[in-house]
Amino acid sequence: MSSEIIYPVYIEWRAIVGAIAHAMHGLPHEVIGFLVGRPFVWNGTTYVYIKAALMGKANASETHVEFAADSLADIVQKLREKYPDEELVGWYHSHPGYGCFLSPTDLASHVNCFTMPYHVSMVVDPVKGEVAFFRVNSVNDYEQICSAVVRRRRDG
Amino acid sequence: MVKVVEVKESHVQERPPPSEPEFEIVAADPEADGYDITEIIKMLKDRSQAVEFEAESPQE
Repeated sequence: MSSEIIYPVYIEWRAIVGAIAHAMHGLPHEVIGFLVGRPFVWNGTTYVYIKAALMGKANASETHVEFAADSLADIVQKLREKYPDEELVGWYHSHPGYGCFLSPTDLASHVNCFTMPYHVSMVVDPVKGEVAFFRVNSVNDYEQICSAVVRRRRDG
Repeated sequence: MVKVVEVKESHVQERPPPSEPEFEIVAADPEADGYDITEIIKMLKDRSQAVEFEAESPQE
């Protein structure tokens, strides 16, 4: 391995660009979606590899977003059909114009839906031009975490 | 009526993180202070690089 650093998050270029494009298309409203991939461990360090971003159907405003009632069933079907070896490793949503952080509502949503320590939250601000990843420790405690964006070489 | 659903236990396998030569590190955030994505936004605005668009609709 060329690098000694093991980031807690690796996301494929197409996945992060897709989530950013989703956030741009959703303006001025927020958008929401799931992150699909797998957790791995190497040298005792756990990391997640995010392969795709799945858009969620949402009820949204400029400051609020929630999954539409039938969104989860669609996501599960897509996951089974296209990514049978992957799992949901987190979620993303947008904060148009007000920066990357997790609100108390975001924290509660994460804690209720994502219980594994490697589950991550990604926030996209398509107005300020920012993206950040977060790990949630509890409903009162979260931290911004390191990450890397990767692209698989065609002949690699 | 009880519906039985299979709950798959998550098995965390050992695997080295993505690295050369199979992967290219496009960007990194080693300080955990986020990414500046203004260039990506500009790229997406300038011309829809749909080939890279991978946020997928479940309805596809």
